[in-house]
Amino acid sequence: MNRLDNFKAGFIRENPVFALYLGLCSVLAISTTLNNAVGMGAAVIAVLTLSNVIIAAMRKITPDEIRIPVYIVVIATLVKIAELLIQAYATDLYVALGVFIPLIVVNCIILGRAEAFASKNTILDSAIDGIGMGLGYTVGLILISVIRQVLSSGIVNFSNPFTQQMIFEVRLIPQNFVIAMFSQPTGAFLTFAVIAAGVEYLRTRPAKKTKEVK
Amino acid sequence: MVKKALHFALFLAIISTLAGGALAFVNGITAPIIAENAIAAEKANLQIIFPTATSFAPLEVKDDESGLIKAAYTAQGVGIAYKVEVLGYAAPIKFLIGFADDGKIVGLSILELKDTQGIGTRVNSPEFIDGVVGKTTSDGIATLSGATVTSGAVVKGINAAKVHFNALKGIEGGTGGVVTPPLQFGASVGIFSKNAGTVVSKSVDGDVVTFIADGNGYRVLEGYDGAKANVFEIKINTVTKKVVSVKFVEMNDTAGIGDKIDAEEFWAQFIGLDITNQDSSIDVVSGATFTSESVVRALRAAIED
Repeated sequence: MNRLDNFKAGFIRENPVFALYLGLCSVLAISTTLNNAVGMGAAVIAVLTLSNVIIAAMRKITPDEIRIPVYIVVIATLVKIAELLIQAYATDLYVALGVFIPLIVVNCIILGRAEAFASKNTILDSAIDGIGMGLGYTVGLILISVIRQVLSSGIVNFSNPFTQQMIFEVRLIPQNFVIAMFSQPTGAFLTFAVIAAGVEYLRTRPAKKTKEVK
Repeated sequence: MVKKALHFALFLAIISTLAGGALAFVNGITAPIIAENAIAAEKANLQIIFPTATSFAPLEVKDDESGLIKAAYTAQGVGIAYKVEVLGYAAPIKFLIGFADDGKIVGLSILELKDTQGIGTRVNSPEFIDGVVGKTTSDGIATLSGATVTSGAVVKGINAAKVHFNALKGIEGGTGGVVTPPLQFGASVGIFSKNAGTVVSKSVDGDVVTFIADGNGYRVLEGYDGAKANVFEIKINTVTKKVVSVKFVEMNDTAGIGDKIDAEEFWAQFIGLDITNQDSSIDVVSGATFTSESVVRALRAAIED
């Protein structure tokens, strides 16, 4: 398999959020600010890549009958490690993401890639797949978060999660014209539906007709 | 067969041991940092309530019957702060309440609040906090009209802290309980400005005539099925031409809303009202305008009878 294609698959064609509809629980719940999206995305990329690598490394010695429990143990351990690190070094992010950090364990993207990809491919390919899929998830999350944050508060900002120092803050919509509903679950569903429809169009539109040569 | 099962068990055991080892290693590094963060965060909150305090010591709370007090801290020489958790409308609410040593409430800081935006969240605004800070531990605290569940929960939590504090400091006089907010009046309405209702019956007792009269309230005007007008007992002194008293006989509007007008403060407005004066008016109860106006209709019917 072409490695570049493999890497790019996660963005549009097999974007985990908009094309495979995987891991939506956390996407809908925490996509309220850019900070949350970047933090969650980074945690998912790290866990997904590492779990793919470990599972690919063990693919020849893992008995087929008990592979799911083995995957779960590996993923749960990685998520717990990520949670402890976030709690220790980025407390604000930990508070904002709350229960959705431990819920990465049951994020179907991770178990899905372990089962569908890492258990059959080499360590390097699995790592590339993990990074690609993780980035696809993060890009989707950032897209929804920015749209919701701008519509609901008029501001888009980003602060350093380790020091709480504001890196940038831009007001795009005046205070009087914001739509507070977009910070609520309703806004998450609306935003997601519109983007998913757009991505679906991109994926399924008929390819340009090539000139027939007689 | 047995060999296969043993192989699986061993494999899972090895994986789990490795996982446990990795977790123990990371936990060893992060645990002290996390503990330090938690103390620092708590301290920052306590500092908001007692800005002058320099050191805080945890205080053990043993005899808290309510079970709402989660922690308490003594601010050296200033007062005591309680961390309280109560059940709000949607989710638990966590807050810190600070009492100065003389029993004055010096600060309320809401730490966690997930109730409805714009309704329950009103307890985390000056509207509510200013009504708490400055009172003493024996004063009652008013709930917020329209956010009764959330504010009532917070007041209940504050009272639990008060009980403990008062017992500790030997302050008598209880907690003052929960106070319902005063009625809020809306626009004035002239007593001759609405269509008259109908008089059901009347009886004369000397100078005072007692009318039983009804006036269309919200449910009738909105055309609810089977809606009935509100019925009132109105006493008018026919010599002085003044209203003696007005009270409910039957409330047929929405329960919990129409009921609002059944309060001393509302009825008091009618006592002594001059029925010959075209400009006589009363204030409607805000949030129960239609029901308030039904009284005016019934009153007009009685006057014109």
